[in-house]
Amino acid sequence: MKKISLIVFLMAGCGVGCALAQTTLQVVGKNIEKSVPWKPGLELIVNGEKADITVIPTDSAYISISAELSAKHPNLDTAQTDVNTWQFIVTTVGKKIYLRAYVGVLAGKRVPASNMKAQILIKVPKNCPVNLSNRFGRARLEQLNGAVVLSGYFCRFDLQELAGELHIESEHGSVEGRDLKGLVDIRGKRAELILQRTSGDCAIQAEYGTVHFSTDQQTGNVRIAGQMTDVTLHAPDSITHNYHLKTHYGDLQVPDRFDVSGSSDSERNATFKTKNDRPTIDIETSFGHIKIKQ
Amino acid sequence: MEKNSENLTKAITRLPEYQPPDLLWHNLEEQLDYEQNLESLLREMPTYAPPAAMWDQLSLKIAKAPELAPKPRRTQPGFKWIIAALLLALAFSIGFWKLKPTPAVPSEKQAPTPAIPDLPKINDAIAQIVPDNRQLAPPIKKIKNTTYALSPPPRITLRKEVVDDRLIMAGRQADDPNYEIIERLCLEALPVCEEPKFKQLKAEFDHLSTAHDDLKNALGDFADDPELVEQLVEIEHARIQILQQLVTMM
Repeated sequence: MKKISLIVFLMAGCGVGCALAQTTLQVVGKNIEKSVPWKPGLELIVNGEKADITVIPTDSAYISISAELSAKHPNLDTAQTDVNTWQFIVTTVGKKIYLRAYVGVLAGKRVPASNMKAQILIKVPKNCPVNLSNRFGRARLEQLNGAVVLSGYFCRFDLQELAGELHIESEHGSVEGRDLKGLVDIRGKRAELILQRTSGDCAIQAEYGTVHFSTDQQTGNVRIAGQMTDVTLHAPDSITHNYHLKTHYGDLQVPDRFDVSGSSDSERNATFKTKNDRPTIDIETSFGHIKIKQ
Repeated sequence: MEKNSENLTKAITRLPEYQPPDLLWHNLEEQLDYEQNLESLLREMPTYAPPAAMWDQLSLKIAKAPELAPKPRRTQPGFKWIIAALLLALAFSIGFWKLKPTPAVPSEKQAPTPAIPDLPKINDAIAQIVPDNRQLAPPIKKIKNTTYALSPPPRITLRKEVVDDRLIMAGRQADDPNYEIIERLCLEALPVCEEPKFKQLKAEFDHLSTAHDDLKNALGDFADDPELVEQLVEIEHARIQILQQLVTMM
């Protein structure tokens, strides 16, 4: 009986301990909906901060925006005060439609003590070009045909089925792209880059990051330049491409059919030639490893 | 030049000087201190609320002695009717003046349409937009180069979220004081601090430190984003590795 009591007492103590290891935040949200007409020639420019942004296509001729701007704090009054510091601007100037969500504090007022977060859903016509920059959040874009320009700082990018030209600059934010059909140009710093089933040509510059690139028959020319970056190629069939691989002060792991002659301690080379009309995969890194997985 | 100005100046210098008694300043200081102390004491003085029964007793007393109760103000009966009549006449004249038809003037130009309000400025509160109940595509208002459609006003929602304290504590970790070792040692102009590799590592360390501070500020006091907290931890690991390399070189 004493043992049972002790066990029950310990379990109760653990439960209380678990309950004490959590903090309840009061979340005050401001829901906004706006709609802007679009016609070919107009470009959408999105500028966010602490925002999770989703851009998906619509058949409508309007760009529709719905956003939840929230403030989170254990004290409800603080959250209610801080939620009003959100600034949400939608305006059209010439051929550009601007959408901006940021925390604006008037001079002399205190900085918000709450956690600020914006959840933004944007529905755009498929051919609408999008220029998006975001800090400390996420951005997801899918099934768009227009040109896309992305810029992020601690922003994770999830991209799917983008058919237009794609230009990305990401610092401290991973980029994951699947079924990208257009030209891809990525500059990453301290970012993990993962690309699968790309159809067009790709150019990647990476520093202090990692690159995972899956190639197949549809993949075009690929050029990767890295510093302090490890590159891993997932190539189920290496006959589809010509390869030029070079690493300075790094390791090179390639299948046996690759020609590794001409390597030295400080520079390792590997080449593979198939047909001249096949696209080329050209990778050069410094202080980073190159690995081909099949 | 004033006549005999020299004599005047000499006479002024020879005028006797009077010093206040020593106790004067002391008394003034005491008086000021007294007033200051009095104010603070008054602030601290407790306030007393009368017991609830007292009000009951007072109302009983008033009930027993009606002459003690306050007398209602009585207006002359005639005044009421005069005031009512005046108000009625005023309302009638205002209504007549507003509703009377104005004669048409053929040469008069039409009044311009009211100006459309300006767009909200960057620091203004989020614009309130007139709600539109139609199911079809909303209408458009043109404002100079800007077009936007009418949309419903913002809704306020309230909910609660529970955050793991471990995330919050990870976001509040103070910086390791060992990070300042490199700065202190390089202030002594050690030769290694001028080496290209050392400078490169130091630059990367500084970059990571900036990113760490930016991320910590973005997470705030109640970090609730596991991905960003994970990145904070990764940056911290990277800083530690670089710091170890720098210290090894020194």
